[in-house]
Amino acid sequence: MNPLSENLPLQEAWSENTVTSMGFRAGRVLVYIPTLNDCNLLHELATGVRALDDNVTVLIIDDGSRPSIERSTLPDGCLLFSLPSNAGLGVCTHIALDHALAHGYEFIVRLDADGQHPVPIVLDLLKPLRDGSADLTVGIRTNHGNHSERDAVLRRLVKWYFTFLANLITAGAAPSDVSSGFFAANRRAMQELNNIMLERYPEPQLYSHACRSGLRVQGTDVEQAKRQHGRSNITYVDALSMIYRFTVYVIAEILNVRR
Amino acid sequence: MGLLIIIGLALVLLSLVRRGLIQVDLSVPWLLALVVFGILSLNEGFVNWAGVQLGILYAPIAIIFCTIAILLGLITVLLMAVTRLRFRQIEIIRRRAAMDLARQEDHVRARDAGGPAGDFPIR
Repeated sequence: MNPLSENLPLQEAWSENTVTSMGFRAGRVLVYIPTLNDCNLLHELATGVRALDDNVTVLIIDDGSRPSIERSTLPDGCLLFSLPSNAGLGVCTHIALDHALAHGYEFIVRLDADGQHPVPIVLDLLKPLRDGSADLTVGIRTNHGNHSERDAVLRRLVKWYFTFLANLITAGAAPSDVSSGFFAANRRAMQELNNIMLERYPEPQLYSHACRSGLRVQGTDVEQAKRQHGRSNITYVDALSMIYRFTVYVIAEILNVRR
Repeated sequence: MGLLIIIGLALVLLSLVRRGLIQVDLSVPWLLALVVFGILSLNEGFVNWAGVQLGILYAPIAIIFCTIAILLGLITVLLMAVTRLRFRQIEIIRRRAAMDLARQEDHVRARDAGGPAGDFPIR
């Protein structure tokens, strides 16, 4: 059983994975962590990511937390940008892509601030990018963390709906979990994704666009860890909003194709 | 005919969203109103009932509907203006972030290279 599915301290859980045997090769990596009022694990996460290799830089994007995140709470060498108010994950992703493209990073990885994305899997996501077999890799969640049974059923339904729509407009090329926030991309994918205006919850739009743009997208199974602090910022209203946004996006894409 | 008008309006709305003239967020109440009132307006019983309830059984009332149509047009234009403002705000945020992070990146690289890093650019 993956130790990350247990409620272990992060560092203890990571130590049981094969980080050192798979270290980074050449190519700088920007790992960005967007966060909204979820700062308890940031130091631990950033330290864990930086321990993977010297070639990795961590960028924390504070999406309007109250109080805002203090630099002194982060490890030395981390980049931090605090948005004056909540702008959404789409804007955070654009900020990270802008920075990675402007400063010559070869790869970018997104990690959640709640500790649910196992840090060692970053290496698994990067592997297909490094060997040139993919432009974008997505962490496919194989479990649903510590949600209640009702929430888990709802999440499965939403996930199924998103995947159905994504497959509809990508001729079945979309990854099997288009609402996963755990992904890695090379420069080609970064440039392509930065050309569109990403929405507040951009994941389904991002992966669908990647597939439709001819990028090679691969999935990597991920057993997400239990949330260790705080709770999800996504409410039922947000979930409905996500469904609406992606449905409109898909309809617009279908109309666009057939015009 | 009524159904065609509703579908036409929905396509116009989707087209505006697709072209980025109206942000998806701002299109939600618009589309909801279109669907709800569109369906209701196809029901003759409901239309008669609403007319009786509101006392709209008088022909010159059409002028009021014309006025409402103009107002709806104005609201659409305002929506497009708000959408443009939001996109510009996002552009400003991205530029500000790019400048701030560039200073931090230079600092980190200079320090890693063993050179003088100067003051850390805390906002």
